[in-house]
Amino acid sequence: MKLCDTIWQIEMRMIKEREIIEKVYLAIEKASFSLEPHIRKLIYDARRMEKSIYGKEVLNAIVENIKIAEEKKIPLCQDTGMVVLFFEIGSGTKIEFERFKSLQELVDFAVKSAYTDFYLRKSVVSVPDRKNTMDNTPSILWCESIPGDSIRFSVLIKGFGSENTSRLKMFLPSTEPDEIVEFVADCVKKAGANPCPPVFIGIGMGGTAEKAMYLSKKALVDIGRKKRFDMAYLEKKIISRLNQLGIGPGGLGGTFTCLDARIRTFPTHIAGFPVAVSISCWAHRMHQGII
Amino acid sequence: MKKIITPLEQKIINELVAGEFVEISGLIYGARDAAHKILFEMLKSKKNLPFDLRNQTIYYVGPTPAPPGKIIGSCGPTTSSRMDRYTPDLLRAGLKGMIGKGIRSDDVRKAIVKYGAVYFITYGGCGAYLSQFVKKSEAIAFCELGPEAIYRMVVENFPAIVGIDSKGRGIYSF
Repeated sequence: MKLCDTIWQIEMRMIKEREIIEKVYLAIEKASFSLEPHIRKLIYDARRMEKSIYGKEVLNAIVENIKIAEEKKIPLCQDTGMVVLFFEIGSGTKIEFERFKSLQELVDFAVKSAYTDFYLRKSVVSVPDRKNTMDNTPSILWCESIPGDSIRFSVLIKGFGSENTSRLKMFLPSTEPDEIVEFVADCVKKAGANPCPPVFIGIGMGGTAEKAMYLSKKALVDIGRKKRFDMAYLEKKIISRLNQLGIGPGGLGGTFTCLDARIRTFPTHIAGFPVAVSISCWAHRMHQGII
Repeated sequence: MKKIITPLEQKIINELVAGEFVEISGLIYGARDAAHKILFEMLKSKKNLPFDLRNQTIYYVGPTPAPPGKIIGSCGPTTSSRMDRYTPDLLRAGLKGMIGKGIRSDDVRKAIVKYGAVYFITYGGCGAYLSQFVKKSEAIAFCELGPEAIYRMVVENFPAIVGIDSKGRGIYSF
């Protein structure tokens, strides 16, 4: 065998449809009824420190809501969202398709099953006639190829009170970081009470318009996880600027408008600087898994 | 904490002040975007509505389905401003109360003053908590819309805050 042919001999790790369906199904269940510990901690800390009477009352209701949702198995929020899935597929894996023709079909089966079995709200409608699809599919599926022989995925249950406040701006290449901070502040200010503050912020900087939007959404799943050393300063600046706005919990005034922010970046063109902002409500419902 | 009963009486509405905490008990109707659009069109073409709007309160909600043996699923407020374009006409037809979250347009605020109505806000994203105050719930119209159907609900001590009072004063300061 010639050396150059050996590369094709690598054994692929075969992954069954069922493994993916089960993990996505359980991730949706987990995310819909309970918050991850680090999200919960940020909320509890805010409640302890919030000074505004209204703000405190809102945070009390939020804490009570988290408790009831978990104990009585009632969805945290009636807007059980659209399901956004970020898949990172290891190049050493191969999905053995049998019943399904594509990954989209396969994950949509998991979504449909979870939304039916756990009595979640079916909020997806066709466009433009706006007929409810009655099973919350399709989901929003993003796939990236990564090295390795496993599949990593993040499930984001994205409510639209906050999604409707997303924004994109094509900045000039010469833009200073402070202008970005002010843009994010303007987004959150205009959003007011609608995205259910205190919010979490995902920011995408660079790439093309749609890449920036994608990065901002993906930055939301970084919340509470790895922090990028080079972005920590700007993230901190954004959080403290947002918490000077006075919007507060529920938009009723107070200190805690934003609980955390994350930035993702990508190289961009010499002529531009796209910046996108995605906002998540306090009920930041997500779950990650490895297959 | 002021306790108020629905359907709302004018005297009670007139006494409410923006920022006041209240507990609502009685009959309310759950309706959101799609239902509002249909109600608005029915009013315009002078058709009979599926329920009498006069003195009633609408809660902007699309609950999750009730599991077997349960009254309702998660049922928190949705963003009120999406209903703004329909609200003045509904108020003219006799609607007195609204429950939702977030700011309203200036037209809605003016209509609230003109027709002596009130806008309440409640805790966004707290659908599990708020479901505990719902004692009865049934879909009464537009069931084909799924979560966007109109629901007739009975609530007990449902927590809310006066968002815009009948004088047009509002709670949001920004």
